[in-house]
Amino acid sequence: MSELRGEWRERSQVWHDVRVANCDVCGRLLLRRVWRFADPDFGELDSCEPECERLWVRYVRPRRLAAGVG
Amino acid sequence: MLVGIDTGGTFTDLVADDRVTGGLRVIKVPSTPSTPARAVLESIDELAAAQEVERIVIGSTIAINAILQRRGADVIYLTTAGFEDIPYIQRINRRHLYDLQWQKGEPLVRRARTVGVRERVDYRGEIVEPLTNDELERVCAEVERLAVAASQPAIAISLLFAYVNDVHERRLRDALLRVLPSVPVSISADVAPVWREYERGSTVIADAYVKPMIGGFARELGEGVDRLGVSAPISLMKSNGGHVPLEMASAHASELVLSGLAGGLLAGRHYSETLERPNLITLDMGGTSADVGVIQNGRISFTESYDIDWAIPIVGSFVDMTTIGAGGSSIAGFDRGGFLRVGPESAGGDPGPASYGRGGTDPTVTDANVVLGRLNPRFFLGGRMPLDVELAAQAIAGIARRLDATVEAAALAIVRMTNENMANAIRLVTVDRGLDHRRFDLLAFGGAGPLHAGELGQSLGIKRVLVPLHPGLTSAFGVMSAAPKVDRRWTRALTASTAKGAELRDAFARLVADAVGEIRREGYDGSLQIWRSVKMRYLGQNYEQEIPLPEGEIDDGAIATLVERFHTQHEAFYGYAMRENDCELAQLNVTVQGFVSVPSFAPPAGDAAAKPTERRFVFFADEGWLETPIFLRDHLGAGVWLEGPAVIEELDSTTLVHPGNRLTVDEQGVIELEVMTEPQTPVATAAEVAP
Amino acid sequence: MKLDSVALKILQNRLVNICQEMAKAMMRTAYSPIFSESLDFCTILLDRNGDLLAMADMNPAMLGSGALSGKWIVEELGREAFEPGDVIVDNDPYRGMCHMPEHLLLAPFFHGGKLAGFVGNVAHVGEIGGMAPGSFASNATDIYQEGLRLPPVKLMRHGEYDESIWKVILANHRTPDNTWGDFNAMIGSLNIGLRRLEELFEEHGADELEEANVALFEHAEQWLRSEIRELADGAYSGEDVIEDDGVEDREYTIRVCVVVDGDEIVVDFTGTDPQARGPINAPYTVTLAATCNGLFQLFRDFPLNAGSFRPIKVIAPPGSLVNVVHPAPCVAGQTEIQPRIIDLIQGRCLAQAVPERVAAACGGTCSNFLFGGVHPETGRYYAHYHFDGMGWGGRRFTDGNSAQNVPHGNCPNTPIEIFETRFPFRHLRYSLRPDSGGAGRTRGGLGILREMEVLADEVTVSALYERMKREPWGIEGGRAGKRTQLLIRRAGEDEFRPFGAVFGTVSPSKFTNIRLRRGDRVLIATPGGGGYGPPSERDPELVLRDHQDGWISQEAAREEYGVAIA
Repeated sequence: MSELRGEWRERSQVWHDVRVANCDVCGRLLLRRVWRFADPDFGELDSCEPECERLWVRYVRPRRLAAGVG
Repeated sequence: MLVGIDTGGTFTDLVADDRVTGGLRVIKVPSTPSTPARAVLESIDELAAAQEVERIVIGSTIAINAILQRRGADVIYLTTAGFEDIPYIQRINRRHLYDLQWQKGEPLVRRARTVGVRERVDYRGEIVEPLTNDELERVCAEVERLAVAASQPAIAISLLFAYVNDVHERRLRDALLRVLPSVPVSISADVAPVWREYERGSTVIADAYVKPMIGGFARELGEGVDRLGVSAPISLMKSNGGHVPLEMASAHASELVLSGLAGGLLAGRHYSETLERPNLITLDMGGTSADVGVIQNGRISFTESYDIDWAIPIVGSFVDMTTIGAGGSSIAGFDRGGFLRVGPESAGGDPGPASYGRGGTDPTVTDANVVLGRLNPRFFLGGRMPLDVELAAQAIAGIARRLDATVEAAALAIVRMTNENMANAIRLVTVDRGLDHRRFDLLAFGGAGPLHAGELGQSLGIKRVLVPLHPGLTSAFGVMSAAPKVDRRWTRALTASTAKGAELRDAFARLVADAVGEIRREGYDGSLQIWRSVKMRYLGQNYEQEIPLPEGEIDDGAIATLVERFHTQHEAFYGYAMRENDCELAQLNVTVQGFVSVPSFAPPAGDAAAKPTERRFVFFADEGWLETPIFLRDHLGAGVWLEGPAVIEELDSTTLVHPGNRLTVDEQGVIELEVMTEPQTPVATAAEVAP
Repeated sequence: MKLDSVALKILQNRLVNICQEMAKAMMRTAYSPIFSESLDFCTILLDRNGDLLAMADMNPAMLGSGALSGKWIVEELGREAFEPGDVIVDNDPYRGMCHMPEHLLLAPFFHGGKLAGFVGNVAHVGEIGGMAPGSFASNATDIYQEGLRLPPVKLMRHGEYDESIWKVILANHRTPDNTWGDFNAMIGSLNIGLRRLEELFEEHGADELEEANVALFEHAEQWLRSEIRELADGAYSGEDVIEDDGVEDREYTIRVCVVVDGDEIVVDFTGTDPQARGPINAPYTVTLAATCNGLFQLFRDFPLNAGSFRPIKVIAPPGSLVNVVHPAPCVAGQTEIQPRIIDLIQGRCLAQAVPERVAAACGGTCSNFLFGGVHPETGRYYAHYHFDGMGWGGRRFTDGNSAQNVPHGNCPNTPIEIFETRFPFRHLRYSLRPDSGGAGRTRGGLGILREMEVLADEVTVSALYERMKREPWGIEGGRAGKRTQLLIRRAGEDEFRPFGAVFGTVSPSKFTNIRLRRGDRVLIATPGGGGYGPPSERDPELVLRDHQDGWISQEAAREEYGVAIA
């Protein structure tokens, strides 16, 4: 398993902003913090947990490259 | 002499009070499942006291077995046209959330034998489509055709809203009885006048389904006891803990489903009264299953529905029992997550536990108890079934290896897991009723109950365990103590704000007269207890709370009292009341019960300073192997006082007294265990999660 | 102190029992039949991080919500936001709820002054405002038409009603008395959960329980991994469609790939169509629930807590049909996308790996039929969310079950006698639907037929169905089940015609606010399940028996099975 390169980042959102954001890898909700990591081809990605970086490397990235997305 | 007979899967037990000695007479004969009446008659024959018998009550599994084994009548089902498939549609939900292979249960009727009747009553009881004479004729002809083609026909009728207006059901029944006088007819207005068409219909179908078989059983028994010269009245236990005379039994077929299970709770009620323990949990643990029941304030709890195999709901009045697969033959293994698991798989009686030496190799609860020295291998069933300690240890060794523990620690873990299964059943039963099990005493019986009760009490925080005389025959004893009892219930949604006291008074008067009439017809002429209650809910709710009717005249004031009691009870149960909301009086309940006087029994003749018959090593959780005195129950007279560890052995059961627990014997010979219940956190022994 | 496996099992039982007790309380005190008869709710316990500890065996549609919504509320508000006596309400589908009628009530549990866990329940509240009575607007084009949306806010503070929020809610629901009764039933159930947790913590202490929770999560995870390990590794793909979104006449495709890799599974919905204008979109938790359900149907008796979800990862692109984002509507994702995903996972994807353990497509629609109006006898406004059972798909060894609730629900029907006592309809027929089960070696289960007449001057109805254009498919050579039909016979006419044709709706299966009058008759015919295996291989004895019982016609016996019945 590759080493994780990302780190936790706080998200700041004023209380009267009631919008939400989603994980770039799995689509789950992003709340007070994000697991941010960089990818040489896809740039900076905000994910919901370190597990998503692993999933990205192991599964999502190869597929997106194969599909010609990115 | 009062006689109680309990027909189990393996043995048929008879208990009689011997007026001469003041003791109990007990008889055990092998059951005869294919001809259930035979074992009953054999036990009566063995009693050899035809002239002294005053009354015989029989708890029988004949009705439930007929349903479970699908050996009942060819039911012809009549229902409102357009609704014939409801027994198949059921309630559209399924037994397990996640089990794609599950198969929906089949009803006790075939669709090809169902007849739709053109008629309709609405929710107010108004007839919106009359049942015409032409239709009546057509239906009778159709039923006749089906009856002729069936080998054992029985008719069940359940029409929509018949609980509000039963005129069509009665016309159908009367017409069919004229055309087919020999075919029994069950109608929902008699069997279960309550709402919810699927459950009501299922009950009527079940009634018709078992009726011919009950009739045959009753005839065979009646002729048999005549031959034996017994002239005393004979009756069958009902699911509600009452009983019904043999000759009337087939008219109450759907009420006999729990006939064979009610005895344990009746024994519980008897001991609750005579020992002055108003709150008791009963535990009847045998070879394959354990039955749990609740006595609250000296009264048995009842439920209004019982579901057989998740396919055949039956409504009525049932002693509230929960059965789980935990018994001496329950098999131990591991679940997929690595936790130890015991049951519900069972080694049964054959091959049975490994220690029976009949070729079984699966580790069972009995094997664990043998390994721990708790069961005497030479005195199991009074020595009739010698147990092989070596085979037991071999069977447990597999569990021990996976737990990386000693054989004793593994056996202990099996016993604890079994106790947890039973404890959980007890928690669920009490939780359902909003009760706190720690305020109850535990009455333990059945062959294995007294062996496990001490530890079970400890883990549940129950401080007192009671073990009656002859624990293995307690159910038969309960059957013997049954009093006649009739229930009546009627669904009728009256709104509290507009209901008239007079209306309620008349309805109750009719129900009480009906119930008393029935109990008198059954031949009981003694004094009666009458309970009346109303099931109430807030207008808009679908489930009700049962509220006792206030004493005195039923007038508008009585309704106001009911409403106030309902608010109070709702608040007590659920934490809130809605006093500004209107209430409904959804169902009226009446219970009429007679009395029976059950004599007290003399304790064993032993004196207060009992001597052990031997000593042997028994394994306990905290202490390990302890040299433990063994006593014979027959030697434990009233006033005996012992400190654990100790083992009490008798023919049909073994009682284990843990170190620190205290045993006393009361005037009736009942054992009372005082259980240590300081909050004890289970300590990590060798039985860790398997790797 | 470390608990051994027996002690852990005891704890696990206790946690589940607490949920069951909470559920019992809710069922017995609720107002809407959808709680008390249909049991459309679930109850949950969470640890102090919001991780799922236990769930009552109620409605699996809330599986995803149970697993994530509470956790997300805790993360969004922060643990410091909770105080004793608080109750949070949340129905925001963009924040983990399933669709807006389903409300999560969540109460923090404090032990020794410290936040130690949460109790919660998720329940379908029958009426929450919006453009259609019953809040099932099948032609809504944004979430604001679907009713009142509540992001996590406090409903109770320190055990007292927060009147401001209550007034907002009650003023926006059409049947505020029911909302009041149902919310109170939910709060009553939370209080019971809190009491039981208190006892549990008194007995064990917070530290011991925290350690035990870790072990219970681990146990559940190992259990699921052991099940997954038995499936052959591989990537199994499939797709299916939603017929239309109620707004436009076009299909939407769901594409999924199930990747089994050792003891883990990735379920990837990349390639699924963008979210629709109409309400057939699914929030992430709905997609998660359906995916896990499709897998869980193959297993049995496993423990359910946060650990059970660990070996399963679901990828759902935001802004697609399976992961709705603002402002798209989504009330029907919960009811119609779920069965489609479950069928896909089983009958299309896992069928490639374990054909003997899956089924053909089920009827695939919740069959939502909503109605409301003023009851002619009480003069009071009523609204009801009605649904029906349908056939399930045939399996390798057994016919599909007839008349069953969708696989993502387990809601009992409302008995006719309760239905007619509460609502102004009279049924003329409630039966199984002959010939609706797809033919096969094992056939699909049958759908139902429900015919009823309106007894009030006016009733407003809305519908949300699927499988009206595309049949539930068979597998391994089995044939498709019959499609949904939704028919109306106007008072004075003598012919049943499709609703769509009579009222000119865009979609034949999804419409809102149609006014029916006294004497109109509605006929609902739900789909049958698909068949499994070639019909020619079915035992002719079974064909005959089916005919005798009326489940199949003489013609179907001949044409589908080649069995001539005299």
